[in-house]
Amino acid sequence: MMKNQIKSVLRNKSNIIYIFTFVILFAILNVALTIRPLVDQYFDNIVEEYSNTLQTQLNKISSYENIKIDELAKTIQISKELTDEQKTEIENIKHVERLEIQKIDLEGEEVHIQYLYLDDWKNFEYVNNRLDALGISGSPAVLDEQILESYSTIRNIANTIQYLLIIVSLLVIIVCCRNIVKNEQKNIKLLQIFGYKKSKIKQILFVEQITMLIIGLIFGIVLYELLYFLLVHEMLNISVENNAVMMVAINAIIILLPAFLSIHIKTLKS
Amino acid sequence: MKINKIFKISIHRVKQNKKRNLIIAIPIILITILLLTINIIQYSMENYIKSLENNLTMRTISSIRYSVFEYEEIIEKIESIEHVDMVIGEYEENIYGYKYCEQLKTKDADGYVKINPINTKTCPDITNGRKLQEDDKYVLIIPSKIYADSEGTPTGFRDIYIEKRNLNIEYINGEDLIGKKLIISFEASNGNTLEKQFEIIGTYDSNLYNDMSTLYTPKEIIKEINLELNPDLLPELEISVVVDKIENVELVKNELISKGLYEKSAILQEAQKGDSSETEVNISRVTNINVETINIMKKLIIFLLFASILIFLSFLITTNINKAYLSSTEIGVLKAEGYTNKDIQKMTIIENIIVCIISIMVSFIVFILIINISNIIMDYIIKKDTIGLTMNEIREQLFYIRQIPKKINPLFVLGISVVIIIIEVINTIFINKKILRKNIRELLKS
Repeated sequence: MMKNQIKSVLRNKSNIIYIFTFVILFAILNVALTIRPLVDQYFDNIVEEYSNTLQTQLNKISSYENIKIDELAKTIQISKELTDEQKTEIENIKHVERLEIQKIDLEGEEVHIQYLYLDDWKNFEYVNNRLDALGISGSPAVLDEQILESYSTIRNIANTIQYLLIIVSLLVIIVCCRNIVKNEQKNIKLLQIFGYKKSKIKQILFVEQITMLIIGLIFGIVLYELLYFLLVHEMLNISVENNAVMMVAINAIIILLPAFLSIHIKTLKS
Repeated sequence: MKINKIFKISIHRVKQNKKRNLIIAIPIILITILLLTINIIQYSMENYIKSLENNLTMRTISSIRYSVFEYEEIIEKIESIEHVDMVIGEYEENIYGYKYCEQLKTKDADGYVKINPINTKTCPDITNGRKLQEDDKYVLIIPSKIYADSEGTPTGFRDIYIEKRNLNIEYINGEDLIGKKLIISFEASNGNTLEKQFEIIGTYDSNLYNDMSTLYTPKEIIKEINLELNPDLLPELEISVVVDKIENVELVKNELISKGLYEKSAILQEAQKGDSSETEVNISRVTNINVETINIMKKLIIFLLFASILIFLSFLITTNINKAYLSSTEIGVLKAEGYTNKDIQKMTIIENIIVCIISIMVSFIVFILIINISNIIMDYIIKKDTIGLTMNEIREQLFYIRQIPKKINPLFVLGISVVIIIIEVINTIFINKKILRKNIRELLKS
């Protein structure tokens, strides 16, 4: 059945051109989906390198032996004295693991510094925003603010590019699918003459669209893997763990939505 | 056949084949909107890169230790290094104590500022007024938009938060203060206080420098105030070097090391005893992060442009071929009517150019409408609850998008219009050549 469907799709020359467009679109779409994890991984490496270097250097000084920088890299330091109510509110913030209070003897005077341990350094901005809303100002305990600012900027740009390319790919595929259905006008009329019901014709068109999009996706993924290997693995030397569920979900939406929309256009009127 | 007759027929064909022309009009509209969006992203990224490159702190190599007895000699050696713009002594770098200005106090800001040193080479680019001159003494270069933040908190992250919380924040227009006098009070940790009067000579772009609270004054004045404020200061032990460009920081640092002028800070020296191969974590690492950030941003711009061009080309070629297939019967009829291949080629080219021009114009109008409507919607959503802004990730993302300066380069608009038309013409010529090779019977059959 599938074999016949593929044959039927490939028989039409204009379909092959559209499959070519789908291949490029799916390849670009998947590369765009990899940008954000790539940025995260890249900055994780920077932070790790930063923490490791600082750790090695501080370990050599006896007074700093007990400090664990990798943990402190995920820590927000709050100098202001907190009330019990504020402490509870802070501990309830998402991504906050625990709140620790350290007493420091500063020339005979006891100073309290609050350390807020987060699950990931990348959530610093999120937590700090919420602290800001509570009227508490925090700063990174160890991590340089410049790293956080750079990450925040690059992450926003990566997100914008990702959303932009997803929307554009979706729109382009919708337009392509509409054109494909329009090209099938003659065949649709023939099927109607042969007595096929509208719902049956819709099913045939839907399967045809899905077949073309899946062929495009398969070759697109191959092209994406090639691009990923050449650009990311070889040039940047970073291995990224993609969120497979999210990628499958977005690809599925981009296949199903245009196919579904394209068969509901006016072309099916007799 | 005369060109004006071909032109008339082409216009008639545009009117007649509205639906068929939509096949190429939609991709052109979509892609023009995409390219205009990319232009905005590119503009905002370039602005950010400029703000990083212009930031003096990012170009400063600090903690160069020296002996008090060889001060003059070391300064001379460092100044002779290529790309060095300014050498700052320990007491020229920052005024030790609070810096308060009553005139800069607003309902949101409590009037505390940050004062940084400059010389004629490191003076920021001026938007209004004049640059620093050699004989200038108590003068200030101020931000074009002033927000004198609490306790002179440095710029960067903090400013973003402040802006996020207070969208209707009250700023002072720096340009209104040019030529006026500003009285700044200083208070040292030992309790000593001092008041100085400065003349404002110019403003720098606060958006470009991502800074709204830093004032610049000659480095000698900073030292003078420090010595007046804290008469018991110990001799200076460290100096800093400001490099001309961010990418030259590493170069100058290596030159300093090779001349034996750069020593690591006390902690690092102790930590690195017996192991000099380790990387150090200091200002140059932070500068490296910025250089890397700039590089990533440039790569992202290239990727975005490359991806959109690829989408554009594949989409346009596909739709053009599709349109040509649909038009083959019509081309067969034209051939049967006696039109030559050249005439048909000209007709289709003119027809597609007209479709291109109309599509580009439509896309500009649609784009301007999208921008304006989205701005109104975003303003409404963001301003609805300013405190809640930090509580909602979507609203936060909208805030960032709203903050992007939406400025389109007219040259870019002209450029993409010309490129789209040229690609369309080339595309049409190649596709038509293939179709026109067929005879009338084949064309009519298709």
